[in-house]
Amino acid sequence: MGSGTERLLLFTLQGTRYALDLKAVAEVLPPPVTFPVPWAAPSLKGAMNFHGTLVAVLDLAEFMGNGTMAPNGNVLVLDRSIANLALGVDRVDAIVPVDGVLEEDQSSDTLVDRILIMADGEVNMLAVGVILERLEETMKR
Amino acid sequence: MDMSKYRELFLSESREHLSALNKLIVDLEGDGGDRENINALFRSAHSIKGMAASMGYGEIAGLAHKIEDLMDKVRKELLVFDRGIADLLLEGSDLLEGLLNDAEAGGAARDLGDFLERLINYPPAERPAAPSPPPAAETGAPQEERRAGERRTGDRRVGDRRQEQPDPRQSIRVRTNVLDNLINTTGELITNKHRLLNVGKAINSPQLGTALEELSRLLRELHNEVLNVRMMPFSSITERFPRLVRDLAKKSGKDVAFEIEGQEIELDRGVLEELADPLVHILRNAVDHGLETEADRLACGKGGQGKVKLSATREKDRVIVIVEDDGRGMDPAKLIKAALAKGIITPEAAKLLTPRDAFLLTCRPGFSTSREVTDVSGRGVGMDVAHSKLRALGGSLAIDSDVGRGTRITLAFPLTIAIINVLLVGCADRTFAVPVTGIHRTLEIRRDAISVRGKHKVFYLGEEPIPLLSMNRILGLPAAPPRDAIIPLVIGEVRGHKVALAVDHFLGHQEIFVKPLGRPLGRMKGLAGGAIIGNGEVVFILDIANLL
Repeated sequence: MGSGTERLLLFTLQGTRYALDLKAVAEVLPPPVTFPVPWAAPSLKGAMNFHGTLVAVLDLAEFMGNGTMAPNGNVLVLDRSIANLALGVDRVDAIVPVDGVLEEDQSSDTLVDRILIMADGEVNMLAVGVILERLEETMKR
Repeated sequence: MDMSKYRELFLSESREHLSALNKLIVDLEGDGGDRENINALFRSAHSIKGMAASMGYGEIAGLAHKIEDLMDKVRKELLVFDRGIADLLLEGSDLLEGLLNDAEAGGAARDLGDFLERLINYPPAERPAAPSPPPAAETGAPQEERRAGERRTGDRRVGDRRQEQPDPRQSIRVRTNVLDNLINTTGELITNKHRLLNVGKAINSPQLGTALEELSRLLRELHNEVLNVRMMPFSSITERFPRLVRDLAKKSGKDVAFEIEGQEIELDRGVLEELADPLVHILRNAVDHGLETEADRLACGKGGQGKVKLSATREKDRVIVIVEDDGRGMDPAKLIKAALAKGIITPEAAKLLTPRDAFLLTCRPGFSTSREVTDVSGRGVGMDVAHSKLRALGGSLAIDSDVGRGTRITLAFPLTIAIINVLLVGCADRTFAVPVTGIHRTLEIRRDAISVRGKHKVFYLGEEPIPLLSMNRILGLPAAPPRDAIIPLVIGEVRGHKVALAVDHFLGHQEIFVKPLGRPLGRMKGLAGGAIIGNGEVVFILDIANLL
């Protein structure tokens, strides 16, 4: 399904497994100290100081309308070339090679790019671009 | 030998030559063939050819070579530099730019069509050279006289720049990201200085206090040096403007003399990057809407050639840029009438507008009184964007105009935007930063000084009623309990009108390092950036003009 050097970061959100291209993730952190952002939607938990860069922290579960992230979860700070954004998730599970993907299927969820069929079950590949666009829509006052 | 590592340098240097080439072509068209400019244009083409050949970009080298050949004919006075040559060379310049873009993208070079043949065979039917006047450098007077009053400041600058070129042994080329990293690190050091100052206050150590004073002094020096390194001349964005104005004039069928002054004024590269687009739009408006057609000008007793002047001057830590034209000017009464008809202002608000307020109506979104929508200045949506960009820079825009005599647009903005002075204010237990450049003044008023006028709370600053708004309410925060009889106010400007914003507390002035918000927070209207202050707190910088 891909070259052996490509890897996925697998994580869990409200019992469902999701994946991101590992290259899209700069760092995985425990829940950071955040500072409120004016006019922000409830799912945008604030801004954090990430090595001197201001990064918005999004509760992904709440943004997807599926509860709220676990208090002791993780945040996945996205690579700066994508956005100054960190995604709050319940748990990081593993990093796996793309070769482990046996098959791909389409998803009806617009926030999911495609469904990856792996040996141990299905994983939703997150559509980061769509999430970013939707989030920006919520910021128009 | 692998030349790919030199590609970035090649592209950067070639684009500099191309920018100079464009300016020289437009200048030459105006000065009828100044010998120095002809030689400079020849050299630019020659340099591009040489660099491209050494990098293996045959198409670029070939095109530059043919341009060089054409200029050689001009240099040898076999051809007169006329409008036809200018058009052809500008087309060639555009093609060179396209080929550089192709090289940058790593793709195949675009097809040049019959352009090389047209260059080789120019003029289509070879005509004998017109008797050319002696070179200006030899006789001095004739060309000056021939174009008296039209000689552009830009011409002088070409000569000046050659004289002012630094000794190459004392300058090096630095990547712009290195400059950005330098200011970022300096900004972080300043943030950390404030952290240490906070610690120093808490432990009250004289030794630490002395060390911090020395650190502050050194940081000021470092900050100044880094700012100096980042400074670039205004000419780095204006060099393309003569070409822009020429193309606009040609498209709208107008004869335009364009003059630039103050190109040597230096600004932070971050400011320059943000300034280019607003200036392009203002220049477009000046040529397209400001200037009349030649026939209209002659009919009202003016010279047929319209004038547009762009000038920059420095006043302390601010730069003033003025774009002025001698065109038809604007009638404030007509602007107000149009704004009323479009529902942009209420009749009550219209009565309060001064002529200067009325001119600023052109900066309101969607405002345009041009009866004819052209593809030159777009659809009247540009001035609001230009104004908004300037405000984001901490700058301001003022318009003066006289009907029949012309329009003058004055932009004032800070030299630098990376490290700025702000007023920290408290609103509902949160801290926000307001750039001091966006503050008319601060004051504290007694609660009983507030009165109600129509639907609005106002207070009187002298005779002037100032609308009063709650910053907490604007930011969607809980209102402060009315415990104090005194209300701190920040007076800023929104859409050309003074507005007083009530905050809970003034927390003091601070120098902060502005951090861009990027995606997604950068989309939040009303936030101009963020910063980390001495106690480690993340604060947002408010853009007062866009808060409402």
